Amino acid sequence: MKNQDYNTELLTHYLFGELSEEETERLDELSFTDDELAARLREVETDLVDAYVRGELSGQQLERFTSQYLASPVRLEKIAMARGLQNSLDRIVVTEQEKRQPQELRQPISPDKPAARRGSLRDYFFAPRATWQWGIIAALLLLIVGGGWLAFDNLRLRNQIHQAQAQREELQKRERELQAQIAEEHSSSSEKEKELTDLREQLAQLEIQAAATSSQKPPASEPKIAAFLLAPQLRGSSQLATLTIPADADFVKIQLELEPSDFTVYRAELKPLSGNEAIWRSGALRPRGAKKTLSVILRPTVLKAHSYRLEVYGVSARGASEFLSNYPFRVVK
Amino acid sequence: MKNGSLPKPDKKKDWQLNANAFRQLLLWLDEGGDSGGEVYLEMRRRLVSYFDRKNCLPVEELADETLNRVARRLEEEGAITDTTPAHYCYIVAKFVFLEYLRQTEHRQISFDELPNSAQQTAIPAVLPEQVEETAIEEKRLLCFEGCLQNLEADNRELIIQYYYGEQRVKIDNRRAMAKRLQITMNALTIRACRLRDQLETCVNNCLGREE
Repeated sequence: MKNQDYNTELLTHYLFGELSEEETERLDELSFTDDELAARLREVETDLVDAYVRGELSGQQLERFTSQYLASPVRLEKIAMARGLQNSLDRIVVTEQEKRQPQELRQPISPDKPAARRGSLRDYFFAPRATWQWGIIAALLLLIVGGGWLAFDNLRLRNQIHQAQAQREELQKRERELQAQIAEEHSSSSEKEKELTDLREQLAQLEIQAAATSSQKPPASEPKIAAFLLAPQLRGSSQLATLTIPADADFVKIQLELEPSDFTVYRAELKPLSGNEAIWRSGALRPRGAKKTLSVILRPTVLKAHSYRLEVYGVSARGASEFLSNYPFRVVK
Repeated sequence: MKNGSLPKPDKKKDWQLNANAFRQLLLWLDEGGDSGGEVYLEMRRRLVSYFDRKNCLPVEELADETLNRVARRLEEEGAITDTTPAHYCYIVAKFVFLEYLRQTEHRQISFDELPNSAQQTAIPAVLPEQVEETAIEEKRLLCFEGCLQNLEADNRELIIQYYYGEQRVKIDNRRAMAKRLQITMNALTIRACRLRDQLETCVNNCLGREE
């Protein structure tokens, strides 16, 4: 017979004499020859008796127990012993509890009291109560410490936020100041560029005058300037303007018609028509007149009998150049 | 016993269990081991339980009768080899029970029908549940406490823990104990039952001395 067959219910039926004759005889034999059954049988019987003593039996089971089991004097003695053992154990448990909690009041133990008072749920509040109390205290301490730490950390973080905000405001203020400074410098730079352009023009005029005074011609004659007017190259157009430069020309003045733009400062570069290397570069140029033209003054020696192009760039306040127009032409001498 | 033949009804009523026969019985029950008499005590307990379940009276005398017959057969035959000691004891017990049924007009005896002498010898001051604690019960309680204190600390702790709690709690507690002691549940039950027997013997002795 396997261990799983030695279930409590079967053995209880056997103890109460409720099995068939055949089954009873089989278990009778096994109660001698099978150590496991013998032990299990004894355990079931002992537990049954203990349950009866503690008042845990009820209903049909109690009725069966009192009618079948109590019929034997040996079993009655077992019950008496079980009651004595249970009372002793209860007293031991009470003594242990009183040692832990001397102020706790305990009711006198009586075997007739219901089982709920003995070995019951209440025991779990008595025996481990100290543990519960310590556990609660530990939990409270943990809460207090945890709460304190959280409050401290919260305060620290708030301070950090305030500092960060102050720093940001400081930085924003500094940014505004720097932007104002930059704007001021740009303005100053624009003014200086304008001043520089004016100086260059004045210099060009002085050079013309100087050329006029240094030449062999009578003082009454003025420098000869070959002036030309160029329009921006139209797209798809391959026509070149022809600039016939007299051999006695002292200067070549090329006026460039500007296309509409927002720039106020320009510059020009002279390049071969088919090349990309600048032969000559201007300084800052400002448009003049109602038609907004740029004046480029060159020495005739700069221009050979070749084809050239003048590239005009718009110059922004920050100094960045943007290509605007192309002015191709051919020089004839 | 040879060839598994069944024991005949005992006619030698004057045969007494002597020291040699008893020693031989112990050796035979131990099957080559040396249990220090534990196997004998366990077998006697099983016999008592068997006769008790059969509602026999007096159960201890019948148990002793069974063991006496086995011991006598061992002495006469020299050995019983066809079956295990436990099985042979069962066979003899069965015959003793059948004889008991034949020899006495036996019927199930309720507690109220027991003669006073039988009641006093078999039931030392057993009271129905409704009766309040008597002096005997109080003495029994004191004896139990004293006997518990006389146990070794480990054994005392074991028996307290073994019987602590109710129903599911008790079962779980026992499982935990077995695991902690690194023994099987069966072994734990046997150990607890032996300690309980030890206690009951101690209490009975205590009550006997008190009285």
